Formats: sequence, structure tokens, C-alpha cells
Amino acid sequence: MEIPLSIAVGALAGGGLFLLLQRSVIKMVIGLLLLSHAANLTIFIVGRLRKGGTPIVQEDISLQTFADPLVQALILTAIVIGFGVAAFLVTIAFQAHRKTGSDDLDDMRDLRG
Amino acid sequence: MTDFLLVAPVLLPLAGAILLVIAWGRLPVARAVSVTVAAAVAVVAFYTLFTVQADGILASTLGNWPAPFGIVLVADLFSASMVSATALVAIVALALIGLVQEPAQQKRVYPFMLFLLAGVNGAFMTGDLFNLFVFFEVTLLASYALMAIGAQKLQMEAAFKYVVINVVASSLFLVGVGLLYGELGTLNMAHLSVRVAEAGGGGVITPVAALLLVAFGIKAAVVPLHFWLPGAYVAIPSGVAIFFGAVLTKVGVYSIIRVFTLVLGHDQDFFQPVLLSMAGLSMVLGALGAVAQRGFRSILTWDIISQVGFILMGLGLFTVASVSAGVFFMLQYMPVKAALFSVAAVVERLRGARGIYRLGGLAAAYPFLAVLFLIPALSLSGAPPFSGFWAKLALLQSGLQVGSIGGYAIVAAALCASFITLFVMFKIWQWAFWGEAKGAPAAHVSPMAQGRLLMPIAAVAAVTVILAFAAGGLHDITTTVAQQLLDPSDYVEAVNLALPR
Repeated sequence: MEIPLSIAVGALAGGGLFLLLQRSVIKMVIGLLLLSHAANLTIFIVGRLRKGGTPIVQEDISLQTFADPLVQALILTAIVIGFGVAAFLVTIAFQAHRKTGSDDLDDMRDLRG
Repeated sequence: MTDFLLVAPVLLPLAGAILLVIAWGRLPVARAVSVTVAAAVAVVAFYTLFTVQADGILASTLGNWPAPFGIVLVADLFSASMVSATALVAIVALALIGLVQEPAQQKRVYPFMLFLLAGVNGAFMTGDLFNLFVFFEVTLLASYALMAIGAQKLQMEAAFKYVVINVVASSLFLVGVGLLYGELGTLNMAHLSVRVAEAGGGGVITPVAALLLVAFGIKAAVVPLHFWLPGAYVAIPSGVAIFFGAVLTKVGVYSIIRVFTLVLGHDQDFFQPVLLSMAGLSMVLGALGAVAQRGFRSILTWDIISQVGFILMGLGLFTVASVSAGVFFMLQYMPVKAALFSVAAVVERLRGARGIYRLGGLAAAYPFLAVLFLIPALSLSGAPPFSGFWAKLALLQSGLQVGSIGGYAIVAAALCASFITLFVMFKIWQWAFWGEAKGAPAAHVSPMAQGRLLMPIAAVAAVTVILAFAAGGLHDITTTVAQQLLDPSDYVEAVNLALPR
């Protein structure tokens, strides 16, 4: 399972970067979301992908039978933070759209001065 | 007692911020609470500093979960002195915001400033790498909000770009933390330090270190990752810029120093040339960028990039003398920068103009303000006898002691950058302070009001003058800081790992 997921991380990061390089504000926001998903998925893989075992350490259970539960807690934290930031970004994009009527970053520049 | 000392710098501002959200819009309350909180943090921070200096590193396990399973807060001399300097800057910034900002903006600014202070202090105190990420995000979320306050046209573009670049940096940081955890199985920095020493580096650790360097480098605005800084800092409200300019990039620098000594100290041969070339480029290009600017604040902002280079030069040479000099530079530079940004904020308030070519005659109109600009400006460019001189002297000496080609090259770059900085400061002096007043005649400001505006600036500017004569005392502290940083055994011992066997 690690290999398909790694490919997915690459695709997400690549797609995210591609969208980030666009001029459209909304595409950039989506690109950022993809990028943070790529980061979260990386951490998920890092916790090793094993299923069926409960993460309770007992005398007779090998540590190799279950996935590391800590990374999932880390991802949860990161997702929540990412969600807040995304909400803020969308708000700014919306405000800019109200003022310029377009979602081109270069039109935002015209707002200067 | 230890627990209280370590938690207070985070909890006090957090409690204050929540209080201000509840009492939304009551300006007298907001002013009183925020300055009181910052002053309380300063008292706690200085007390911690002296305790750490006397008794050694303090550590506190949150919720009594033993390290490395729970999160630890650690105050070594480095973090304690950073929190102290930050608290000083915060008092001045919060006091001035009430005087230079429009009241409508102030009620939004105060709560977020306190959230920001909580995040910054947490980032300095934490002993856990993922917790560092979380405190970074607390800091950043508050700074995003502060940047967009007022929703002026100029701010929309700046805030958007600032958020985007920081989210990218945070993603890199997150991936780095995740990979490090996957390789070493721990997030506690002291434990990481032990594990890295056992593993002897290699494997994914070097690429992970590079990831973290890029992530922190973006936040610290080191060349070539500095491009976002000038546009962003010009757009923030002038009172908030005092805190941003003096403290925020230093959180990135702090993290670079912390991670590349404590956690990833093994790879010095690989990272020394990288760090030194980043430092050299930052110093020179930052100073040159400042030459080309016309705005009071944009000159100071480009200068931040240059000064970050000086701090990194100290780290990059990796000797006790050089790291000590770098930390010395950072500690004395934070109040200096706060004083300069304060002067810029007050000038903006008094004259309503940002460009230095549209100012003029300030020295005749406000002589005390001129003195309060001149002292930190001279200190920044390294003129004796102010603290900046001693910091740069120590840096240059440590560079010459290393004696390699890299050492000489970085010393040459530092000298160049210092002269350019001196030139830039005189450019501001010449256009803004000398000559005839331009534009609309200045609004009359009563001596009382002037005194209130100048008092906070005088307080921070005094620090650089005091340090000019007490440089030895600070130097003793930073030497201990450097020893603690370059030999993590004290830190590891203080965290008291309850390692399972």
C-alpha cells in the first residue's frame, strides 16, 4: 500500500504546485489545499500502514502488528489548522473579488495605492 | 514554581487575549490589559532568565506526562533571553499602538497581538518539534489576521501572498517533522538529539534537515527566501509593524539555531557552507535592497533581511565564540529594530507620509524624536559605542578566528553590509530629518502628547545605550547560551527522559 499512496502524495504535491503557479486566486487556494493534503498523507505513510491490530501495547503483542496511532493524531491537528487557514484565505479571496470583480491576482495588484 | 514560570509566558497572553475577545471593543480595557499582560510576561521572563542563569536549565512536563511521551516546555538560557527580549518589544509595541493607530483599528489589533505574543513565546519555550509547528501556526494565524486588519486595498494583496507563502513553508515543515518522526520515532527535541547522535546522521536525516532549513528560512526571510517580506511588512498597520519587524522573523531564526544545534548538529560540514552563503547573501543583498527604497518602513524592512544574515553568520561558523556573537547580535538588535520601527510609526502618525522624500525638517520640528532615531540607527549600523558595535565586533572577531576562506569571505561581506547600512541610515536622516519641511504643515502636537509618544521609544532606545556599557554582562550570558547550544547534554539532562528500556 505504501507505493500507491506515495504516488498519490507526488500527484497531490505536483498538482498543488501547478495550481499555485496559476494567477487565479481560487486555483491558488485549491493548490494550497492539495499541498497540505500531500503533507498530511506523507505523515500518514510514515506511521506505517498495517491493519487489524489494536494500538495497545501488551506483553505478548509485537509492535509490528499495528500502525503508529500518534501520526494520526498529528494529522488531525494539522488538518484542523489547515482548515482554519483555508477559511481565512477564502475570505480574503472573496473580499478581493468583491472589490475587483475578478479573481486574477494581478487585478489585486491594481488595488494598490 | 518551575511549572508556573514556564507556562506563564504562554498562558498570560492567551488569557489576556480571550479576555479582550469577551470585552470586545472596550478600548480603555484593551489598552490596560494588553500592556499589563506584556509587563507581567516581562517580569516572569526576566525572573526565569536569572533563575536559569543561576540554577541551570528548567524543564516542565505538561500534564505530568513524562518526556518523551508528553510535551515538555524548556527554558534554557537561549529561550529565556529570547522571551525576555520579546516581552520588552511587546510592551513598547502595545503602548504605541494605542497612540499611533486609529481607534477603530485598535480594538481589533489588541486581542490578536496577545495571541501573537502567546504563539511566539510558546515557539521559544517548547521542547517538542511538533509543538513548535503548532505554536508557529498560532503565531501565523494571529499575524494573518493582523495583516488584514483594516482591509485596506494595499493589504489584500499583501495578506494573500503572505498567507500563501507561509502555508507552503508550513507544509514543508510538517513533512520534515513527519519524516523525522518516521525515521527516529520521537518528536521530543532532546530525545531527537540523542537518537540522531546514536544513528550518526545519514539516511533521510540530511534531506529532512534541508527541508526544515527551507521552511524556517522562509519564515526568517533569509536570501534567497526573502522575497515575500518587503511587500508584506509595508502593508501592516504601523504600530503592529514594530512587533513584526523586531520579533517575527526572529522566530524563524531561533528555530534554525535551535534545530541545527540541538537536533541536527551532526551535519555541520554539509550545512556550514550553505548557512554561510545564505548569511553572506542576506547581509549584502538586504542592505543593497534598502538603498533602493523610498519608504521609511520599506528601508527598515529590507534591513531586517540584512540583519538576519548577521545572526545566521554566527550560527554558520559553528564555534562557541561565533554562536555567542550571533545570539548577542540578535538580542541587542530586537530592541534597536523596535525603536526604529517605532520612530517610523510616530513619523507616520505626525506627518501622514511614508516616503522619506516627502518628509523633511523632522529634526527641527521634533528634536527629541531625531535623537531617538539617531541612537538606534547608529547602533544598527555598528557605530561605537552602542551595542550594535560590540555585537559586530564579536562577530567579526569570531569570523577571523575561524580563519578559513569561508570565515574571511563572511567577514568581508559583513563589513560591506555594515557600511551600506550606515549609508542607508544617513539617507533617512538626510531626507526625513534634515532640510525644509515638505507637504502640508505639521499638525501641532502638544509637548505632553509628544512626550507620551516618545516615552516608549526612549525605553527601548535606552536598552542599546545601557548595553553599550554593560556589553560584558550580556556577553557572559550569550557565551553560556552558545555552550548550551553546541553541547546539548545539559539540555537533554534537564528534560530528564524517562526512556523505556
